[in-house]
Amino acid sequence: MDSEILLRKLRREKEARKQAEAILEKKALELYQANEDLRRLNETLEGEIELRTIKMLSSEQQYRDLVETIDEVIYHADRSGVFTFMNHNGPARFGYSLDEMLGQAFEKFVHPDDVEKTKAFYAKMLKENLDQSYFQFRIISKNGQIRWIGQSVKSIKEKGEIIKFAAVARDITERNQLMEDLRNAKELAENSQLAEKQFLASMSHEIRTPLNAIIGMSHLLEDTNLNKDQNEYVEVLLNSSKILHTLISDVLDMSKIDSGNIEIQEKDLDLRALLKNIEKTFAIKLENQTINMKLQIDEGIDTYLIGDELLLNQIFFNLLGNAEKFTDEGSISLRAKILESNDEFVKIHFEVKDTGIGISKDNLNNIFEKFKQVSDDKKYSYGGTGLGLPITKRIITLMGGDLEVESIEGLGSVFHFEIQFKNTGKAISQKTNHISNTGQFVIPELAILVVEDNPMNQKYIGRLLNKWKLPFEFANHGKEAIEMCQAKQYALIFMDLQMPILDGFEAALALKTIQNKNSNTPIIALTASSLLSIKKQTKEIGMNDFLSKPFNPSQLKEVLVKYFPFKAQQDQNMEEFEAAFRFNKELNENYLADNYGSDLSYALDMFQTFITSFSNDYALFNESIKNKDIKSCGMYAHKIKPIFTMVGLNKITAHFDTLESLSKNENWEGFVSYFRKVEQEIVNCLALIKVETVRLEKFISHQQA
Amino acid sequence: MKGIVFTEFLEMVEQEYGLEIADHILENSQLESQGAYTAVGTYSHDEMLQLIGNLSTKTATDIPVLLKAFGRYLFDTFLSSYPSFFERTNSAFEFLESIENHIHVEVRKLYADAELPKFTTQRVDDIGFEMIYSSERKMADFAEGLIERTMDHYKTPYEMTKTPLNEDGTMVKFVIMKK
Ligand code: HEM
Repeated sequence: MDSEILLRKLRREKEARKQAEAILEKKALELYQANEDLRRLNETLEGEIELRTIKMLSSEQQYRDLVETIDEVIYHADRSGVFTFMNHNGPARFGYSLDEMLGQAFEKFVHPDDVEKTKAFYAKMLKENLDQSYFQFRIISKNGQIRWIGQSVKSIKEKGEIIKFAAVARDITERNQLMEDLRNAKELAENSQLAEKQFLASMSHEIRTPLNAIIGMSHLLEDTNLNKDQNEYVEVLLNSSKILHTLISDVLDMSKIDSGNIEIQEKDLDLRALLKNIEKTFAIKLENQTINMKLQIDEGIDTYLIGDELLLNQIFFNLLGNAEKFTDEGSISLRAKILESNDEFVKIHFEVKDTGIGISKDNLNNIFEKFKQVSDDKKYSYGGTGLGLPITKRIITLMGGDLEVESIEGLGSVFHFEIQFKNTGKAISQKTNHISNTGQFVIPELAILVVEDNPMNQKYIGRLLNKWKLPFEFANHGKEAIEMCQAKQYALIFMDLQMPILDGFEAALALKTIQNKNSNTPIIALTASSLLSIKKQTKEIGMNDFLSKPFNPSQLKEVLVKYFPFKAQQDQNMEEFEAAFRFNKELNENYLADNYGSDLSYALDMFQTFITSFSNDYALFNESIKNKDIKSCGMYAHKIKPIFTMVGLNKITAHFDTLESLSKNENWEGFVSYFRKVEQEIVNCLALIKVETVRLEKFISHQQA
Repeated sequence: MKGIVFTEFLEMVEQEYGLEIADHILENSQLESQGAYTAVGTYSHDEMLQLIGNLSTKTATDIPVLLKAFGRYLFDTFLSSYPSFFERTNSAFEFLESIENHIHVEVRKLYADAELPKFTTQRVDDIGFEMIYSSERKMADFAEGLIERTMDHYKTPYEMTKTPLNEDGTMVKFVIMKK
């Protein structure tokens, strides 16, 4: 039984083995077949590759042909700048053959002075993994010529990494030469224009300085005991010098307008008061004549507008002066009428009408043209320059209006124009805060330093300061001023800008930077130059105010009351003045008013705290910059940031805010370049705060006295 | 059905019941293959049904019990023949998930004519696992044996319920909870 079972099992196993062998043989055959198939596939694939290579080569030939038709150098270079491909045509331009260039590094062909620059260019592309960049450099051609190349380089990347460069390089020598010529031509043109402007400005200075002295001294002469004849001479002297002054001003104004160098001030304007003042002045002028001065102001003009008081004054003085000259009897009227008015703007029609001799039709056309005086009547010119009306017309145009004239010969003329002013909406108060002419300065402990080289001008200012009992000393030039400032502290410095030995700019700059007793003393620039850029320059240097020569006594006084308490005779006026300490306009008045209100000693306390804490932190901040320690730079920027708001300098807070975030981003280059940009502003602001602190101190101690 | 299933089945019968019983069930079946099985061959699923049917009669044991036992037995064979499948996974559930996605996929690559079941799996919270078997061959009991050994192999104490999802046994749901 058992053996039968075993036999059956054996038979089954045998059968199974045969089966397995059959399966194995079948599988082996299948494997062989599969291998065969694979081989055949391989062969066809190889054939395919060969075919494609042939196709590719022929298309590469096409590219080559294409590349050879181009006038530029087209090349591939590997990461180390070795040329791996290049068109024949390109290098041939520079006398090189393809064999001379392929396999060589670019340095071999670049102008020695440009090699570093060129290396840096590729290094930058590699470092920043740039896709594309443009670059100009010089190469030396085979025959030793220097050629300028402009090349646009593209990165060829594999898995995001640059493996080689493809570039198109072009000879831009001729183009650069052309541009250079153009630049030179432009510079030449600009220089000559500048020279003309400078000539005009300095001429006017040369003329105005002595003239200023003449006018000033004539005024002083008037004040002495003169007999009748002498009085008459002085009057003539004064009148002629005034005419001369007008002439120069006009010529200068015209050139400023023509060069676009005129600035329209946008300030609160009480048009009503301005027109009334003008009326008063002319009414006095016309007192002894049979001419009536009439003024009609629209009742609706009852808010402050935004406008330029100075230029408006000039317009009306010119027009009224013109009317006066051509009217023997009758009336001159000035009218201001609202055409349109709302919260945003007020449009006003102005009219100056006279009952004079009128203007002939022929002349009507050219009275606004430069230097064209009405030929048949010498009288028809204002101030003799023939510029009065043209200037007026141009100023009005600048303000957005258009001066027009209507006239009937023998009956009179009407000049009229419209100007649209922005409306502040602030009502004009009836009370006028006019600085009383009668009164006294509170005599300061420290003297004023007047730095002025012209002895005549020295005398003029000296007399005025004496009259107001303000102590002063003179320095004859910048160098003397610095020496005096090192020895003694002054309350205020008047600084003429154009002086021998050391001019006012350099002296002021020295006072703000070198060790002396007056680095915080306010400096008022005095200059006869009327170039706006000079005014800006004085501000940049850190001068506090600007007084244009010639000035009259009240203009000088206006500046002085900013720095010295002035006791007017009426008690009410005095109170008004003392209550109103005005911070420098650079500071955020709203913030300061909100925070300190009328508590000036609190403000002073904060200002003093600011100066000590800022000076400390700023020194540490600068130290960190020197050490290139961006972390601690950020820390000090953060620390310094808020304290500027305390003194109303929010704009500096914003700078430090930017600096802080740049340092947080570890952007050292950005940080440094931003800092260099704002550094001067920060230093100026510190100086400003120092000045304000001294002013505050003085103001408070005078209040208490 | 792959030959390995038959050779292993007969191996199990010889071990558990002896050569005689193995011979008996072979002799009493109408087998196209004459009972000569090689692991690399492929045979009709019907032969397996006959062999199990005869074993059941001969040993008076229910077919499901025999199938389950065969599942348990085969697991150990797999463990020694295909250790690599077990190295990839760290837990019982992970291994069970890998049958459909990996093991049977590899099996299919090796034997294009393999007849494999379909499994869908789903984890329930951290401790629960749901596995649905579906196959024309109705071998859920065999699967149960394989699953049981899987849990033992990963030393995971568990409780399992088995619920048929239809009448003919081609769809069965296993719910396994770790204890
Ligand atoms: C290393 C592990 C495994 C291997 C190598 C493997 C391999 C196989 C092979 C070769 C077959 C036969 C196919 C045919 O006869 O055509 C099969 C069938 C089967 N396998 Fe797996 N398997 C493994 C694990 C598992 C596990 C853990 C289960 C349990 C859930 C399972 C469930 C099944 C079932 C139920 C069948 C029968 C065919 C059907 O029901 O349709 N297998 N397996």
